[in-house]
Amino acid sequence: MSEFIIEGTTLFKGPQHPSTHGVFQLKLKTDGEIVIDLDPVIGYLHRCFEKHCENINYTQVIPYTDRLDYVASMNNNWGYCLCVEKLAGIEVPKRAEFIRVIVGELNRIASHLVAFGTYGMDIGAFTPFLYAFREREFILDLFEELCGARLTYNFVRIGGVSYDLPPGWLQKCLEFLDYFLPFIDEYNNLLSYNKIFIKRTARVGILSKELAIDYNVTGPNLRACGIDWDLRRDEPFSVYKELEFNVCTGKDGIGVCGDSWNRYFVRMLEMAESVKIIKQALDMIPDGPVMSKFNPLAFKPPAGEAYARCETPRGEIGFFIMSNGSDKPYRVKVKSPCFSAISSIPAFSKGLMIADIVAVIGSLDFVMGEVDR
Amino acid sequence: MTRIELTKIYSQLSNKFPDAILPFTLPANGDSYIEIKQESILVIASELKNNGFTSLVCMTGVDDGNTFSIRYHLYSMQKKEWAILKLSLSKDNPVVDSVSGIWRAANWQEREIYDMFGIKFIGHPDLRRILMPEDWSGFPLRRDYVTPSRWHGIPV
Repeated sequence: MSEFIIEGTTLFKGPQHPSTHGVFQLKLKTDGEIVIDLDPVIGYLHRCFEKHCENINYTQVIPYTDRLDYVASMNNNWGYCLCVEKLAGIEVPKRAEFIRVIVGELNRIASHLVAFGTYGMDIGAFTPFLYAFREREFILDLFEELCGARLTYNFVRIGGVSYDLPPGWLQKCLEFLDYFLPFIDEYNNLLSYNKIFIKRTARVGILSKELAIDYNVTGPNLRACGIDWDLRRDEPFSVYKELEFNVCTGKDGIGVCGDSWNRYFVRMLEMAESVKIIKQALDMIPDGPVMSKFNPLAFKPPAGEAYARCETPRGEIGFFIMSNGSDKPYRVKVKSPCFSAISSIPAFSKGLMIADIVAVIGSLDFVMGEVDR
Repeated sequence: MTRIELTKIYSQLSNKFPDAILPFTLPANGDSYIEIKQESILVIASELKNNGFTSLVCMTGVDDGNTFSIRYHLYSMQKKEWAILKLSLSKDNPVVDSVSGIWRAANWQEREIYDMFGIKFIGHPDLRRILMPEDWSGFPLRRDYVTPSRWHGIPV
């Protein structure tokens, strides 16, 4: 008996499809409603970041890192500066480290709010999006007061941060946290425990632990698989050693470990942890300078290479910088967490329905600016 | 952040594979790396994978002037330890064995290096361009690359 050969229909989803979070294309091979094969196509947002870096000096790279993951620019600035500081052996003042933690965690909340809002919209719930953006607005206002920009901050600099906090900013930040915390429960009641939402996302697109590590999937997507790993706790950078927080992982229950619901829900849990971290940092922040003594115009790190990584809302962003002793980096390479997450999609999404693919790619929460660079 | 020193891993590896590894020097600044011979990448990679280096965190291509080189940043989550491998390739015929059979993360990383440097990976299941258009000519991150003025009539 000969086997059936399924030729299937090829369906191009994107690059202008609203659920693909930017310009991202999926070539789906379908048999009716079932996806039998899929091929992610990236590169539509490629802006030659790494090539540009060959021709600009170390400080000029920072605004480009803003545009990698434009939903969490603070964390990208931070990752790049960590690597340069490691390469050149620059000590960062204590106050600057605390400011970095505060803005980094605020940006994590803002980013997870976007993830929560847009994910609801992908699945078909429009209202949560409005709720999420209402609270995100307060964070953007805080950032605007801090550095004048609402999306691309260029705030974290090599050796510290660009400005000290304006008077009364810490108080405003604390007020926001007290105002924001009760809303997480509201979001959960609105979306996380919604029956339709659970039906659409729980047990859909299960990424196993082994696959996640093999594909080097990081951040909330890795923790959702039940792996207790967070760079902030396990390989602490900055002052995270002095702060107490829990690492949130996915659990069997409403969904199973590694499914779309857990990937979404880990982010909701992380927002509460971020609030906890910021509150501690607000108590502990010392007085002092916010910038170490160094001249950005004559900055020439000694020859060598360094790799540093930083936990962003999307996972571990890694920077590899190679210096030849001149004022321009010889090579800058970005290891993007979303790049790894997208590369893993074909491994665990075959056999799903076309509509479930939307639930899977939304739950991975990628930003194409970071994937294509 | 402290720099990554690999003296322990180096002595383990060089005892086991004395022919595959080049002499090790601790650089004056920044992370160190273990330089290996081009043909022994698969042996070393599978040895490290079996020793707990389950994640291929990053793969970087570099144009060093006269040669190309590739860095493999490997990490062991159990031991919280790094291993950084470096191998050099001639510019005339940059070919190396693919490690995508050992770590699946290498699949797209190798495609990116092929796209940017034109380094070919033997045994890669699907070696295509990934970020640049498929009909693009030249490899942008090579140091001698000249940006074309037009592509399909569109100014670049």
